[in-house]
Amino acid sequence: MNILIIDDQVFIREAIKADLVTSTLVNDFQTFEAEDANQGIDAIAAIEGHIDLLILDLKMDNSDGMEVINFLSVHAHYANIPLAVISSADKRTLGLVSSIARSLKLNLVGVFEKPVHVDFILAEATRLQNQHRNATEVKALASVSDNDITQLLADDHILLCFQPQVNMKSKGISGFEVLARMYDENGYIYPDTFLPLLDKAGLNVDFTKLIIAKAFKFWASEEVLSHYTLSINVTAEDLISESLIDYIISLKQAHSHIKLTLELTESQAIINEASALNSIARLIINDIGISLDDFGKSYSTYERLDTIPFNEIKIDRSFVCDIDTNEQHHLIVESTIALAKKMSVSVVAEGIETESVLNILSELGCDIAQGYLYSPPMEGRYLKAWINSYMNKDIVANAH
Amino acid sequence: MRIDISDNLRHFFVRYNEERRLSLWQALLDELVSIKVQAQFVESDEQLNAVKHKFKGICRYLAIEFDMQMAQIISAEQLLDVVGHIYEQVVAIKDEL
Repeated sequence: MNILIIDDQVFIREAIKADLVTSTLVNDFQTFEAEDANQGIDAIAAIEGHIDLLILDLKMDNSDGMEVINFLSVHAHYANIPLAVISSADKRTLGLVSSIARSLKLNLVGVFEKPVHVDFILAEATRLQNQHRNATEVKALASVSDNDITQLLADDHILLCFQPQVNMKSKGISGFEVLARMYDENGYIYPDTFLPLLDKAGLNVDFTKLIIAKAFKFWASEEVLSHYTLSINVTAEDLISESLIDYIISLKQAHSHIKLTLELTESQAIINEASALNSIARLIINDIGISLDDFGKSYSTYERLDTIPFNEIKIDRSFVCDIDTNEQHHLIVESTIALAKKMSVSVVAEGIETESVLNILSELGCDIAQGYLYSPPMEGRYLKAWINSYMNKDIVANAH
Repeated sequence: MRIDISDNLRHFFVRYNEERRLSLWQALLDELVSIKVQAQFVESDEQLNAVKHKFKGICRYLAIEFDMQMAQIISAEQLLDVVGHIYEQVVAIKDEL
């Protein structure tokens, strides 16, 4: 592992290196050092971007970390270097730098106050690298064509993954969100690749129907799963398909013990159509929960609140993931939770990756937590083992 | 502004082996000398703030919580006084490493 530390203070570079040596997360590594932005940029070029982690101080003698950030952003082949910004600056400045780095599409591990916890940075960098690797694999599969996707759907090349949702007060598992993957001989195809193809092929509703059928079949096959809510994504377009709504209601009636929530995304224009509102009413009457997904992301967020009867708000991950460092996002999440409380609906926060974010959400009164901190989406075959392991952990924690 | 940081220093160094402790101690001492030298040549508020920022970074690593007091440092003389005080304590702890 190659780690480049750019900091103008030798003591801080030495302290970081000392922590790397004592870390259990990295065995074989080589450090490179630079004491200002120019030296850092030269080092990046000299090792041709073969850097697994770049630890960058923000404020340095004769230069600042923003020069390096700008350099990375204009050289696409360096933009994927995992970047951890460190500083003694105030939180607001850290939040601003975080926003800038993200908007420049850099591979940001995080923006951290000194002193940094090297183990945490290493764990985050590894996670990001794995994500990047997956994204690269997906990109390589971008050649999946309209015909392929139709065939894959016909051949049922769909795999359901489930991500747990945890009640923040009781710490118990409250439910699971279904996340679909398609696959071919090369491996997984992720939603950002297959959804546009399904849309183009006019297969959205067929796809949703298939997902719901598979999810119900799986949920009904294991008695233990009936304790947990099954959350499935539906689009506004799905709502105007009367046959799909009939199908969902018939499944729910046939399996009344399954607690179903539909997470509603996308366009306000369709939702306003009388047929879509009629569908929502039918779903609610049949004891199917409605969750407003990606809350806060769209300009029509508040219009949705006014139009749709719902019992859950799901705050978009982009606001949640950095509330410990981004003051604006903290305010947005805080206000959304307060609004939900006033409306007597529950709040789900997705995209929780750290204890720090979880603790803040707990203080703000968020009801349900979802994110990699608990588990990435997992295939159904691992679900029971995960539930057992989580529950045993919970029992042990309570015993202590 | 006087603050006893001997426990902070012990707590910081104890995590590392002896060889690493000594090299970190030397790096810390060099850094404090560098800050003292820079503080002696401060000619503007901007320069003072830049040196204070460096000192703040070191304090954070040593878990010395005096951000509030740091805000009260408004002259190079005051900064030199505080840095000098910390420097003496770092020198004094060498025998324990």
